Amino acid sequence: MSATASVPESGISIQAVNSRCADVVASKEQLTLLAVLATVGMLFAGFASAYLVRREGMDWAREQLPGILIVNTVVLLASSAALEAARAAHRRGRSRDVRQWVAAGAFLGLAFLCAQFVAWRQLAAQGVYLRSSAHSSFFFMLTAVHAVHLAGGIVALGYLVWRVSRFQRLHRPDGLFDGTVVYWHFVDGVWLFLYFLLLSY
Amino acid sequence: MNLHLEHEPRSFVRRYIFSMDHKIIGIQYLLTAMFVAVVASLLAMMMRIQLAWPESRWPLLERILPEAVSDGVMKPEFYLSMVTMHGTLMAFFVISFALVSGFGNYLIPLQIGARDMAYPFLNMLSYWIGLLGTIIVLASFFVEGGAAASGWTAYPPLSAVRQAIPGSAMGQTFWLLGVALFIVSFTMGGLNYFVTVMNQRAAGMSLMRMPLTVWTLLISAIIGLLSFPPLTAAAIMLLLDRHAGTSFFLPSGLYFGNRLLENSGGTPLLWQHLFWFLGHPEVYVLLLPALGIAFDVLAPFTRKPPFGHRMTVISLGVIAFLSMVVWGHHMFVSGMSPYVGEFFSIGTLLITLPSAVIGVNLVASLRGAAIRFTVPMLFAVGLIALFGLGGMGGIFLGTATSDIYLHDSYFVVGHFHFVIGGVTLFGLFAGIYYWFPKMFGRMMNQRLGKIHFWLTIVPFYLLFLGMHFIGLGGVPRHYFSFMSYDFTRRFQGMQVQVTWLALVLGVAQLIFLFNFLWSLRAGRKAGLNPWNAASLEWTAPSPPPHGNWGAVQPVVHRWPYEYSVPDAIEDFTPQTVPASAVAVTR
Repeated sequence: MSATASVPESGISIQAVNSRCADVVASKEQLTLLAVLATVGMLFAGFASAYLVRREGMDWAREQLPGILIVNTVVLLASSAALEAARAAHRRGRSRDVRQWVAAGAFLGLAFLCAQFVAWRQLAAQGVYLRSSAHSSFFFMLTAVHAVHLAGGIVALGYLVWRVSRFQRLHRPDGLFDGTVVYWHFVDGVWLFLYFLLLSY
Repeated sequence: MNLHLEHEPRSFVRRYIFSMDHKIIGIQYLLTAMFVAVVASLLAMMMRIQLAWPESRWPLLERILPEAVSDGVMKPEFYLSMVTMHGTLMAFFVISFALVSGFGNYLIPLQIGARDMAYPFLNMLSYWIGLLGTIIVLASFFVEGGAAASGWTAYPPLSAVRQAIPGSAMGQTFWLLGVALFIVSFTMGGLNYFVTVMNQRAAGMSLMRMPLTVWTLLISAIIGLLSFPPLTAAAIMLLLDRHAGTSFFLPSGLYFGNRLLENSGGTPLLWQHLFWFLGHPEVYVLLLPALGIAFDVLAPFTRKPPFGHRMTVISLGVIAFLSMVVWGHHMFVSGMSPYVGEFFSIGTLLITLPSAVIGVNLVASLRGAAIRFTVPMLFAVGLIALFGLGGMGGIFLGTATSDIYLHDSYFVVGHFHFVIGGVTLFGLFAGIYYWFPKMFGRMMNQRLGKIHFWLTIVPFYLLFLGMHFIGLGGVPRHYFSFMSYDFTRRFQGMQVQVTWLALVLGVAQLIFLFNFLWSLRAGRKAGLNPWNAASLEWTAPSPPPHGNWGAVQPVVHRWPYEYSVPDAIEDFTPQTVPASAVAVTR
C-alpha cells in the first residue's frame, strides 16, 4: 500500500490522500500497451486468417510485388534499431541523444511510409489496382491498414521529440517512451509478417 | 497521482454534457440506451403486429416513412429492415451501452475505490463517438432505400451487393459506419475498464475482494478487446467489396437485375466466420455483467455471501475462454465439415459446465436465506429463472444434429431472447433499481417497481416460451408473413397470442419509464446506504461527489460480502471497517 499526500496548486485547502492496492503489478502504461498490442494483434490475426482462407479460392493468382519493398523493409528495421539506440541513450541519461535517435526513428518511419506509397504507384503503373485480383486487394488493404498503425506510432514519436525539446528530458522510467518503442517494434514485426504472408504461396 | 478534487468543473456544459466524470458518463450511456430501447421496442412491437395480422394497415408509418408501406400495407423489405435494426440496436446500442458501458463506467471506480477511470478524457471520447454511431444507425431509416435489411449479422451477398435489395444501398453503408463507430467506442471503453480494474484499485482491494460485478465487467472488457478487432477487419473488407469492387466475400456468377456481377472467387462463408468470431463472445460480453449484477444484488437481500464465490470467478474465466472458440455453432447449416462441426458442438456443450456452476451458485445463494423481496431482488430472481430455461434451450442448439432441424426457426429466436434478451434485461432492471439511490440520491417507487416486475416477467416468459414451440413446429424466422404456407398458418393462433404478450410487455415498460422519471424528482430521499449493503460504493455519499471519496480515498479491509457474520456489530460489515473493529472473514 502506498499513500501520498499533495496540496493542489489552486490553493484550496483540500488535501487528497490517494492509495493504491499492493497487488497492482503493472503500471498504467504497461497495461495500456498490453491491451493495445492484443487488440492490434487480433486485428491483423483477423486479416491474416481471411487471407489464408481466401487464397484457397479458385481464382487465386499472385501479383509480382515491387522490388522496392525489400528496401522499405530494411528502412523499417533501421528505424527500430534507432529507437533501441534511443532507449540505450535514455538509460544512460543522455537526453540530447535520445531526442536525435527518436527523431531518426520517426524520420525513417516516415520514409518507409513514402516508400510504401512509391510501391503502390509502381503497381498502379503496371496496371495492378485494388480490385485487379484478390491478392492485389489484400496487398493494398493490408499495407494501408499497417500504414495507419505506423502513422499512429510516428505521431507518438513526434510528441516524444517535442517533449524532450521542451523539458530537456524524459521521465525515468518514461512509460510513454517505453510503450511507444515496444509498440513500434510490434508494428515493425507485423510488417515482416505481412510481407512474408503476401510473398508466400 | 490522480488528483481530481481541485479540478472539479463548474460550468454546466463541462459538468453534465462534455463531462469526464465516470459517473456522468455512465449515466449518459444509460439514458442513451433507454432512448434507443424505446425505438427498438417499438420496432419489435411493429414486427409482432405485422406477424399476427399481416394485412394490417399502417397509416401513421406511411406518413413517416412512405417507402416502407405500399397501398397501406407493410412491405416485406421494410419488415426485414425492422428485424435488422431491432437486433443491431438492442445488442450494441442498448444492452452493451447500458450494461457494459453504463454500469461499467458508473460502478468500476466506485466499487474498486478509485477516484475515476484511468483515462477520463478517453472515456468522454468513447461516449461521444458511441453517440455519433447511434445517431448514424438511427438516421439510416431515412436514407434512400431505407435501413439495412441483411440482419444484425450482415451476411453477404445481401450486405455486400449494393443493388441486392433496397436496404443493401445506403442503409447498409450507414449500418457499417455506425457499427464501426460503436466498435471504436467500445474498444476505448474496454481499454479503460481493463486498465482501471488492473491498476487503480484502492489499498486493500485485492482481485478476490472485488465485487462480482467488477469481475464480470473485467472479463467482458477482455473478451471484447480480443474479439471485436477481427470484425473490424471483416467490416473493412465488406466496405471494400461494396464500394471498391473487390471480391473478398462475393463469389463469381452472381446475377442481380439481369446483370452479371464482375466479382469472382470470394466466399460469403469467410464473413460468417469472422462475424461469429466476434458474435459469439459478444453474447458473453453482454451476458456476464448481468450475472455479476445478479450476484451483487442477491447478497444484500439474502443477507449472506454468494454461494461458491471462488468457483464463480473460475467459471467466469472458463466461459470467457470457451466463448472464443465455439463460434462455429452458429454455422452448422452454412456448410461445414462434420468433423469441424463436432469440435464446435463439443466446445459448446462444455460451456454448459461452467454455466451450470454459475446457475447452481445463483440458486444456492438463496438457500437458507432470509430473503427480502425488494424490486431489485425480484428482478435478480427472475434472471435466474430465465438463465436456467434459456440455458437449457442452448443445449439443443449447440448440438449439431438437433440444430440442423431447429436452425433459423423461431426456436432460436425464443432461445436467444431468454438469454441475451432476458437475462441481460433483468440484470439491467435489477441494477437500475438497486443503484438508482446511489446515482440520484433518491429511491425508486417500490410499489410501481413490483407491478413493473410482474407485468414484465409473466409476458416475457410466456412470449418467448411460445416462440420455442412455434419454432419446434418448424416455423422459420425472418418471414414477414406466415399466411402462404399451411404448416406455418397452423401456428397463426399462437402468433396472435405471442403478439398480445409482446404488446403487454412493451406497454408495461412505460411503468418503469414513469417510475424512473418521477423518482428523479419526487422519490424518497435515500441515505448513504439504503439497502444496508457491504460493498464499497455504499460508503460514498449518494450521489457521490466529483472524485468520489472526498479527501481521503478509502482503504479496504475485507471482501464485499460480509453479511450475517456471528459476533459482528451489525448483520453487515462495510469493506472499509478495519479488522480491529470486526474480524475479517475474507
